[in-house]
Amino acid sequence: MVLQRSDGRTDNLQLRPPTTTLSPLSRADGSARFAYGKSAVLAAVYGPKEVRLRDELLDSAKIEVLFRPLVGLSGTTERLYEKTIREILESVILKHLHPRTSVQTFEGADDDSSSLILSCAINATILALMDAGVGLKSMVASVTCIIDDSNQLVLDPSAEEIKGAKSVHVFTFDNVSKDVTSCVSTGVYTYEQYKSVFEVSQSACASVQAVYRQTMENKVGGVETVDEE
Amino acid sequence: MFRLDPDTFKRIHPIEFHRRFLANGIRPDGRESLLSWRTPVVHTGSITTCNGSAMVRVGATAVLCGIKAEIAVPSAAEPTRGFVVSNVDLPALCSSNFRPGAPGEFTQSISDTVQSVVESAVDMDGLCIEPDRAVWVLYADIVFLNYEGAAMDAALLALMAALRNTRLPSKTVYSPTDGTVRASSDLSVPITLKHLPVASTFGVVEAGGGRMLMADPTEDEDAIVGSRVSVVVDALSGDLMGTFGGHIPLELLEQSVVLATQRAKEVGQIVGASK
Repeated sequence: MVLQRSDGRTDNLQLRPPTTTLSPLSRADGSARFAYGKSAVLAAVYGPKEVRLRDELLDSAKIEVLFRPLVGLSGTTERLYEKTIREILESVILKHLHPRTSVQTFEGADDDSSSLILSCAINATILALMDAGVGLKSMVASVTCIIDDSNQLVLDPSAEEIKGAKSVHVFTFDNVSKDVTSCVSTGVYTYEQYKSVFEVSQSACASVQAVYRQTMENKVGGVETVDEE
Repeated sequence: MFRLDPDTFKRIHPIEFHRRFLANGIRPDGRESLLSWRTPVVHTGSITTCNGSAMVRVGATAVLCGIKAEIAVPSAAEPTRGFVVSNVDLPALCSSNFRPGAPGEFTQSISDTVQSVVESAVDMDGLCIEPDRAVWVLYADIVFLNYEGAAMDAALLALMAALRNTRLPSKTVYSPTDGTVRASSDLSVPITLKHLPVASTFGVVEAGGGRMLMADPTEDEDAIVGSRVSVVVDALSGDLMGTFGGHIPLELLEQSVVLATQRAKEVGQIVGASK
């Protein structure tokens, strides 16, 4: 029997190929749009630029993150997203190269499907930082996994699949260390399930990093691939 | 000879101050190892005007939780599901690190994580009075009176102890003619809790050329804590109920889950002993 997921995928561990757009905004220093299926986030980066006096740090850049939901006002969930993204960026940006400056990132949800949006926001922000030429220690990538009501591990769930989930896990890994860059798990799950989610997410993140690389190669090497006729 | 007294030293060189404790594997507050916890003290029922309340102390951290039950209309999508609305407040009076005014990013993110955990802990269908018409909504206000670290751990502990202490009227009657609910004046029925989540926070510190876990860092110790992770474990079943944090090697993450599971059992007994 072939398993059929709500959006037509045939395997629980299948990652939808992410859709990326680089530099969709002309006025930002760097910008990117990242989408898993219909969930998408548009990120913009401004900086390193001048910093408000009260935010000035003598030995590093100040990193500010602003997350906006698709509709309505931002609430506590958006603050948690901002904190998660900021903590990732503070460890990944070479902020000591730019003392007394600020690096601002804006993430706007392009579609609202709860937890997936955090993964999209992290990935869009990293792409936007690369687009802006801000120095990074490593490329971090994020994926979302769920444990569904029949205790099956489902990678990159759709919005309908998230609704019935027993637990939702957002994992972020980088391509240099073996550390977990960030982990936000909610719901009820066992330690064994957690470990399997961990392993699946780690390998899925590697394929997202390959997408980053392809996206950047398309930008940098775009001139060479044009056919002359 | 010029000597710095410890308080001045701590103020001028906070990182060096804590590093010297770390080198000896002890803590400024008298704990004898990096992996020892401050034992929480739980008092319940101290606020008589609430349906349930709890006061929790973890070292110098003091947090108060009060729960007020009100009646609301359920959402159309889930007509039997009640609500728990929790809010964590770290007012300016609890620590000099918090400014008066709107809650900051830290406070709001603690609020959101506590809310996401409690939603899977409470039997929401048990809060139904009349499907599609009336359900209980439990407003839980969690206020820190003094803050010395362990925000997530103490807030969740206070909330769960207060929920265990919560009593609802034994009889409720929904009147379809005028859409009102009449409740008996006694408060005797406890609410059903499916889980007893206990949060344990660890810091990751650099010591002896490697990284290791520091259990339950105080606010002062944040100076040397590189990153942190909070692991929420159900004290009843031993299942995990949330992991929040980052920048932690896999082996330390695994260790934190094992240690958090042990601690959840111990803390679960303390909460279980409260009424």
